[in-house]
Amino acid sequence: MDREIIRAEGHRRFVLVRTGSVRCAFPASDVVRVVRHLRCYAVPGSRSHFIGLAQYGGDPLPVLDLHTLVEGGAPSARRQAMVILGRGRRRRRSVLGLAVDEVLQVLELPEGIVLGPGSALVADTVEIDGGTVKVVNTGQLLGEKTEDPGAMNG
Amino acid sequence: MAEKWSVGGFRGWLGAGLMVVVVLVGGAFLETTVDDTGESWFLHAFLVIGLFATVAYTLLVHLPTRRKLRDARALQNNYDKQCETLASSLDDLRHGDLVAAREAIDSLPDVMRRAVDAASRALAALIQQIQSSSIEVATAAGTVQKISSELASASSQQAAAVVEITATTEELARTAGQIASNASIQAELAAHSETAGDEGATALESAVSGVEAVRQHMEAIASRADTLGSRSREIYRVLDLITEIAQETHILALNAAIEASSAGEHGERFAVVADEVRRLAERSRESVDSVRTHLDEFAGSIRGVVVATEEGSKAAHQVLEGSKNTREAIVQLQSALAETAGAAREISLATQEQGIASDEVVLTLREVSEVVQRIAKGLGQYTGAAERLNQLALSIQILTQSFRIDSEHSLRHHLAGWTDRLRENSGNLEVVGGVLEDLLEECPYLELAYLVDVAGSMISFAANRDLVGNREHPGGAAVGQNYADRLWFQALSRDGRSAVTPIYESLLTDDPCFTIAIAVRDADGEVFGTLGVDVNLLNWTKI
Repeated sequence: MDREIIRAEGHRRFVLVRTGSVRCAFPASDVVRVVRHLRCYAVPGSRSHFIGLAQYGGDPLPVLDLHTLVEGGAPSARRQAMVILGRGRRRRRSVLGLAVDEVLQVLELPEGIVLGPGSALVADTVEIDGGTVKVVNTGQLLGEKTEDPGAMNG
Repeated sequence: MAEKWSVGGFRGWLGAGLMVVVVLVGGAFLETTVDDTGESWFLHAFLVIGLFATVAYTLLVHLPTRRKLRDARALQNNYDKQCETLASSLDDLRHGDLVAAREAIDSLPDVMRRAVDAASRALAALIQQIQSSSIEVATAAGTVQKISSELASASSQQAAAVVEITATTEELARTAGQIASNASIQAELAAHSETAGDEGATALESAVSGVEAVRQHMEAIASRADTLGSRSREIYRVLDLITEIAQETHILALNAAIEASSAGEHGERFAVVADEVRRLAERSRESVDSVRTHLDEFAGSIRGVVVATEEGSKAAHQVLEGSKNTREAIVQLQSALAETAGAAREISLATQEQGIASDEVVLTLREVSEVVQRIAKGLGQYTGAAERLNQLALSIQILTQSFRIDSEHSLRHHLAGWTDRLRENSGNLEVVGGVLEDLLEECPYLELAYLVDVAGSMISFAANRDLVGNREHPGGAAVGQNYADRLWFQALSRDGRSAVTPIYESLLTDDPCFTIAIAVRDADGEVFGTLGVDVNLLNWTKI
């Protein structure tokens, strides 16, 4: 229990999700909420990874298909869960929803992974429980300059 | 002239000479006894009278007598010739050549010629009648022989059939006895079966009741299984609810962990709790999945029980239906067994009567068998008699062939015409062979035709290949072979005219046949050969 309570130095918390056969991790600091899949309304003429607009907290919420973002292909309307992202001052405001199949857990990963607008969508790949996990650059998705220097490494 | 002065001729003139001698002796005696001239006139008168008497005797007695003697001699000669002709004709008749007998009587007086001709014609007509009759007798005897043979065969078969019928009837009688015995046993068995049927019906009623109870139990089990199914569905709903709660708890724990993460160091403990909650939710979900798996198996078992109870119920229903049918069948069987018992008793009685009747039939059939066997035996004798009659008729027919009559049925007369052709071509053996071939072609009932010389040596022969095929004579018929030891040749040598052999079996065709041989004479009437033919009796009688 003590080992769990004490965060190791140089580690950050990430939310581990599964979409299809791919596992991805988001920085927990950029996750506003994890909810069940919300009903989405498709927007005509939108990109393929854009599922549509959902309503969350009285505000419209754009929803993207994570699997299409990281792997390509057609989006699936049968995702079971949704990760709502938000950052900084708008931490309390949701800005983007990512549709996934399952939210697995919150875990800690070592720092050193470059996350920010200048890096790629998949910032890094780590090994967890014998399988690879793609670390998603939420800054790339949110499209904002970081206000928290601690959120960026270097 | 020589005859004139022969002893006979001298004897004719003896009377006149004696008269001359008597006159001369008397004149000499008178001349010696008369001395005077006065009595000489007596001598002269005696001589003149004697001379006149002699002349008168010669003219009135001697010469007419001589003419009469000459006429009588001519008559004698003519008579001798006629007798000789008649003897020749009779000799021809004796040898059976009626044609020659009639040809030789032209020189006889009309009365005799007519008489001999009439006799020959009558004899020829008689022979023809005998031939015709013998043919008819042979035909009739053959028919009778065939019919009686068929009847004998049929009677034998009938006798055998009667014997078989007798044996069958005896077997039938024995079988009837067995049937009667079996029918009695069957009647008893039917009575026992009737009793057993009653017991079976009772047992069946008990079985039906038991099956009905089983069916009701099955329906109760099915009802309870259905209730269990309903309960299982409720459990599924509860499990779904627990799953949903676990998922909500899982999300709640994740959000708590996220919030704890954003709280910094202050949220560390909360994050730990949130993770524990998430783990509990995950374990709850895993437990629910395990329960769901067990519940699936349980529901499957329940469905199996439901299906099994439904099938058991159906089977029980079918058993009930079958039991009802069986009960009806047992009732019908009881009725049928009663009828069977009655019928078996009737069969027993009937078969006993049948056995008695069969014994009587067997006795009658034995008598019939003896009668039929006697008939078959008699028909066999009748067949033998008909065969002998047929042989006798054929023998008569062959016997008539020893006569030559002017008829197309006379083989001897027919062959006589061919002897003329042989005589005309006797110097050319090739032509003789052709004549024999022509003879066989004209007379298809002949197996062989041959010409032998007076010593019995074969001159030429021909075989009818339509009859004998390619078979060769076992005796080796060949030119130059001597047949002097053959019966027909020896008979012909004795008779000088013709010979007919008895019936014998042909070595070429194995058919009955006979040989007829006829002498072949040259222009001077001298015998220079014998024409022989082997007549196939079967083909000849057909013709």
